[in-house]
Amino acid sequence: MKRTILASVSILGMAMGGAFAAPVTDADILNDGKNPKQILTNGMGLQGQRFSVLDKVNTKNVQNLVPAWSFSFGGEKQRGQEAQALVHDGMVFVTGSYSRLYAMDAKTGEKIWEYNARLPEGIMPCCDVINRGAAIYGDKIYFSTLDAQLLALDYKTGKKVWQKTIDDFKAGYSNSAAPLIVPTKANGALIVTGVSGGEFGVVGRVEARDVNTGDLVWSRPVLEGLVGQYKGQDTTMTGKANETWAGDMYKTGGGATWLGGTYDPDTHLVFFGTGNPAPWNSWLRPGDNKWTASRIAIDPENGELKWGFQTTPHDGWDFDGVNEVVSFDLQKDGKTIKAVGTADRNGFFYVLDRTNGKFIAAKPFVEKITWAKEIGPDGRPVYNDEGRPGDPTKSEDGKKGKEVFSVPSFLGGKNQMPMAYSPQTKMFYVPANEWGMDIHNEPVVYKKGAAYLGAGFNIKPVFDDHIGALKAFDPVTMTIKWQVNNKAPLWGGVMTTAGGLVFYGTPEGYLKALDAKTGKELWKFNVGTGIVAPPIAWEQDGEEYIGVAAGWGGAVPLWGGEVAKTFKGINQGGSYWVFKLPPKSAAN
Amino acid sequence: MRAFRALLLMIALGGATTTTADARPLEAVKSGGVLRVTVYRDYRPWSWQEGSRLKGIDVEIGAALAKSLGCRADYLVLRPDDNLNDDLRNGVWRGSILGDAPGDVMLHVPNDARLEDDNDKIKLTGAYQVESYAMAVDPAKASQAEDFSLFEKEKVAVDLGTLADIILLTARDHKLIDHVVHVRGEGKAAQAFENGEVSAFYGESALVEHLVHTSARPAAIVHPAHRLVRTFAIGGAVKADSVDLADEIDRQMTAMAASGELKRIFASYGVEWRQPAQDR
Repeated sequence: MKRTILASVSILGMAMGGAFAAPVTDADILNDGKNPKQILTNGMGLQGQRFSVLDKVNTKNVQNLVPAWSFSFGGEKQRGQEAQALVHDGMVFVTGSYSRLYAMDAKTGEKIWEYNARLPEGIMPCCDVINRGAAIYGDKIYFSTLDAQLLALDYKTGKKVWQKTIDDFKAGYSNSAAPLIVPTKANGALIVTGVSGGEFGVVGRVEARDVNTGDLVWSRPVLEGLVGQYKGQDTTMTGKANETWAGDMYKTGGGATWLGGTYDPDTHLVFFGTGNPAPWNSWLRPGDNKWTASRIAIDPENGELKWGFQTTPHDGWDFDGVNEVVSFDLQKDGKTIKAVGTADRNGFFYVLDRTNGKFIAAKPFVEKITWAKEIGPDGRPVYNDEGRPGDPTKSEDGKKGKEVFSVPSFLGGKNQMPMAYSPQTKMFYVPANEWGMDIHNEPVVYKKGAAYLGAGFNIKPVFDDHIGALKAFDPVTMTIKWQVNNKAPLWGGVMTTAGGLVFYGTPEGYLKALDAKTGKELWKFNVGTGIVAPPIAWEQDGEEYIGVAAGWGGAVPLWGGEVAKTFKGINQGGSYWVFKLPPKSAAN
Repeated sequence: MRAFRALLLMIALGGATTTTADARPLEAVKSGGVLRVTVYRDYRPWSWQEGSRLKGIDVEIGAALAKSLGCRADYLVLRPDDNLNDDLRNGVWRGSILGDAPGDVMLHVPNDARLEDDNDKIKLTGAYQVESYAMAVDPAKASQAEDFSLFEKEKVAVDLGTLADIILLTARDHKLIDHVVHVRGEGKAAQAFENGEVSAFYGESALVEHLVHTSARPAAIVHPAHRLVRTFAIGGAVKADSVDLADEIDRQMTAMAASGELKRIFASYGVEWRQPAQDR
């Protein structure tokens, strides 16, 4: 009895001590990028800039940063930890591998609650059993699971309030992205998700649900020819059937929206990226195959498609177009343009007008790209014809076929790890990888107990001494201002701060702070396992805290060959690390 | 990324943990009284669930093998992963990422020596069927189906993402694409045929024979020639160190071939038993 009373008192005390004990509102969400006392959205602001206004930790004192606390996710489920944490009401919330969610005391790291999703037998996650974070609104916290469920929990207790099925895990659907909360006039705040899945026939769509009930409000399929829905009624078709697809292939053409989206309040648009088309063999699907390998903008009021921009038309290299779309104000030729930046798998950094999707510019952010010579003035790639993988159906029976070395590899110039944009330096900080792939046709392959037609891929570093490279990309001059190389591939995501710093983690286990202007390394700390998650910063009791999830995994260690040599010996883990300045050096 | 991963070969499997499940020697299987048999999920006519019952050719072969060892069969019903190497990891030597134990023997593994080269943790066991591709077609149109020309104007159903699908999309210089109807799930192609939505369906021989056997609409079975058509033998696989279990399975499989048991099992599903060459 006594223990219970003490526990209640401590929860009450915490609630009173925190400035944001109230339920999360539209205003809170919309202001997330400007209020450092809480972190409510994946992307540290709906636009996804991952910029913290905090400058208490800065270029002058960051070398003093020390651990404040560390929290173990526990159990045996130590696989890739890719989530960005949220902070609200004196608590830090972070998802872990195997669809787990933890709430910790933001000051001490003490566990408040833990939620373990019960995963059914027979789930088949594509790329490790990761999760990329939660969303918070009202009195609930939301996250999605490997068996394609969307869960809403009471954020104070971790008790489940509702659960909705996004799609059938038995048909190959899964979910791992952080949901996005978007305020609307028509239907209040909506929770917006995509779909992911590893099997043929999984088709991309974006969906919005009521935050309170989880009921579906609208659904927008990304493939041309499929029809959207609004409150159970059919609405408009996405594009036109068979304009960019042959036969019935648009019905099963891929385009999974597996990395989630961002939202821009200025234009009131939701931005999502879409995955590669299916089947992978481009020779079997003539046409541009819209809107696969694209960025799309959706009106959150009704789910209508406002614009699309295809980064890799008729993709033949598995260049998913899912990478995040980050809104920023581009100052160019004396004008301010409402723009977005996005660093594509295909190795090019694109700047688009976010009001209409019009192409502004694209330049490589990785070196030695082979698949295209450049992006033309119309925004379309100028292909290198010899750089397209050959048609495996034309290969001689029983022979391995011609080998093509293609850069970037299908893991991309940048993968799921999010970049950051600093309005202070006006630069993007892009966690890039310099790797290519040998592609050859395999005469005999088996799939599900039967013969199949396959291709072999072998990912190789482009340079001897590094694959990873953090690049400062200037979206005005479209040039790289500085870069810091890393031996192993970068997989963790970036944050930048008003303290003039860039924070990012490495597979080697280091959380690092660089000078945002020069790339000079100012601080690092090894957390004992690889980092594949983006860091955050928040303010608490007048101090700046830096947090990051640690735990090696994700898609990279699933690959062998030469790439594996760069991360040999890195141990798995599962923990949350938090840093701050020691009391005496807390002042600037 | 997902599509490409589907085709990956000879790449390190499964991340950092590579704990192999312990092989159970023949004696341990026999004394335990249970042979754990891995079969594919939703795979007519080999192994599929009908109501609460697991049915199929592989299911019955597994039961017969278990019986011959004095055991009962316990099935691990495997969801196919992106490629066979992943399936062998999940079904034979390690178990699933969520901790499900693998089987003692997995059935329906192509009997191709290259698999042992690529997977040093498995050993193949005796082949029990030769499999290829076949087409069920409206009998009046069979001759035009032989060279695929029929499908420049009429529809043909195929299970999405199979070799049969790739063959149809490739045949006659990609001219069939507009008439290929993609379905998911092996019974669906036959349904489309029965409903008259398509003039033919194409797929693995055993499936096509089985579906024609149960179909209400008369159909001829043809085998159109195409560069990509493959013929391959199907057998089993055990853990690399389950040597005495593998030998016993080979002996029992040979006995089942000789006694007519295999032929009977295949025939009960409307599938012709095609005995593999005995040179392995």
